[in-house]
Amino acid sequence: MGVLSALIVKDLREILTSRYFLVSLVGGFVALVALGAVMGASIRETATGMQKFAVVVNNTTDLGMRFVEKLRLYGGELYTSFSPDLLRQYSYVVVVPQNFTFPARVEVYARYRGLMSVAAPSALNAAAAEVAREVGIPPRLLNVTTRVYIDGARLTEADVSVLFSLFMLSWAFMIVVPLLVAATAAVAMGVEKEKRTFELILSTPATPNALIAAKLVSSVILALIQFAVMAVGMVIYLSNVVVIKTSPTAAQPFTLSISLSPSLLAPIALSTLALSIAVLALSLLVATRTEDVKTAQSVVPSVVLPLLLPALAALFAPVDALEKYPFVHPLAIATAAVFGRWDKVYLYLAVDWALAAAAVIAVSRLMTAEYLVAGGRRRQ
Amino acid sequence: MIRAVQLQRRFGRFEALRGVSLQAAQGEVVGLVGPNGAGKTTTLRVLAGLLKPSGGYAEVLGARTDSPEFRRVKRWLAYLPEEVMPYDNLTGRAFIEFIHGLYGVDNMKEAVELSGLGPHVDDKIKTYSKGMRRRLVVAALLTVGARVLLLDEPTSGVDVLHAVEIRRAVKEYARGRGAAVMYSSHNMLEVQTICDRVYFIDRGVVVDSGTPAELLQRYGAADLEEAFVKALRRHA
Repeated sequence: MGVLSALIVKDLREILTSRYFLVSLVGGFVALVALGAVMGASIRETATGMQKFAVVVNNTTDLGMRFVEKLRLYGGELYTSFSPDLLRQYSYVVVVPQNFTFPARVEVYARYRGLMSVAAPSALNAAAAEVAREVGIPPRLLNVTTRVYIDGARLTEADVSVLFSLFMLSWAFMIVVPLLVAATAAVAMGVEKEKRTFELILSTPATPNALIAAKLVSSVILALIQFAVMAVGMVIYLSNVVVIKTSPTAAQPFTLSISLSPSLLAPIALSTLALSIAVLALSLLVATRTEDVKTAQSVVPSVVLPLLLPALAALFAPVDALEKYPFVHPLAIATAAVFGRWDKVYLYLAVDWALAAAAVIAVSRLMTAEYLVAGGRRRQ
Repeated sequence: MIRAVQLQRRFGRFEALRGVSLQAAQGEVVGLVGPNGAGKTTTLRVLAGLLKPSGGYAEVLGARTDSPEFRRVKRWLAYLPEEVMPYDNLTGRAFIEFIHGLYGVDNMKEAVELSGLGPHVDDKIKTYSKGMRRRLVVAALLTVGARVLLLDEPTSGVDVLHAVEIRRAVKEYARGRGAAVMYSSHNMLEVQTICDRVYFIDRGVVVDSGTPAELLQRYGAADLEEAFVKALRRHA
């Protein structure tokens, strides 16, 4: 027992006094709290948006009127005719047909505000379920057709399909690629720290800038290889999801578009590459403060993850509220490219590459031989 | 070829070097001897251009180590850090290629021969013993054509037979190529055997220097270890 307690106490003393453990502990806590705050704000905003919607009804059945009454309880405001102007005031407009009966076909006109806006609003199914329960028939008898509008123009189903695909693709680019890059950089730098090879390399003709450039290039290549493998897996995954979504009971069959043109994909890739370089530069810098690979692998993602929280939230929140944040740019650029807003595409690409250049310059200025060997800054 | 004049180096409030002066000429093996924390590794790092001195200066092959010209000199300098370990997932051959690539040379045959690894040179380094890893790094660095060698505990972890081989190789390298060698070690027998001159360092200053024979005579010692202990006591 004495030996066991001595070993346990030693481990606790060693780990609890490790600043890396404390950083990852505090970092994880802060990341979790921040994610909760961002997600909560997004969901509240979405929920608030859903409380206000328009219901267009003009001479419908009794069952239809009961459905309308339920929708009013969920925040629906009544109108007698539809006009695209309603979409400026409301997130979506529900049109109740004159011959409303179960199973009902309901059209919803939605303003494009991100991925959530192309899905059927939950209030409709909830209202339909309540009506169905009251009249004693099985629920889930509502077939919603969503018509999505953006800037007053209606999207075709093919547009929505491309948007959905782009959303999934750019979301993966925004989250997966930067995290892969950060993890790869952590390993690349952690190995040098663990093996004490910085001294060896920097005493040769290799300069610190050459070392950083090599780490940037090799980490991007390794991350791209990892991403390529994951992308294949993701396509297989999404193709399986599509099979499920196209089942007859689905509210709205989205299909994965395979006709994403290079002119759409190239800006997403360029934006992601720029942001990855910025993340990489930061990750390399953070990893130099660790002592081995394992520490680097735990500390670096905990520093990078908070930067990506808005990108995580972009799945739930209106994109236009977040798109100025650089790490949401792949998605913002994808959306802008779909609708031909090339001025926005070029602006965001310029911002992304400026950020990447600034990060690389800052890191190369900071990471001198002295910094890498002794952990200090260049003596003035 | 190597010259340090009143080198000083601080890390915060800690003075690692408090005015170290030393030199090594062409073809000469110069020993750096001192207790842990005496400033040996810091001296070698300054000479390798990795740390800038807080005071004084160091020159290698005529260039100050804190000047832009030193980048040109680094082609002719090889520094073996004390704790460096080669990468586990490379083979010995790939590691030699990596080091030679940094210097722009290709001298694989000589490096393999010097390492004594034989067929194991094509095994992954993670299968090597500590001594094999050390021999690999030493062999890679001794075959890049350097004119200045800075060796920090080159035989650390190496068995007796291979340590003798490394010492012989270093001595022959200095003599044969006219290289200046700065050799840091805790092994007094090793220093006495290989070094032409020795610097005793303690708490950031040189406490004495001379050829091994001069130091033995000066302190009336039977071996360098005894001379070292007496020098430190006298300095204290």
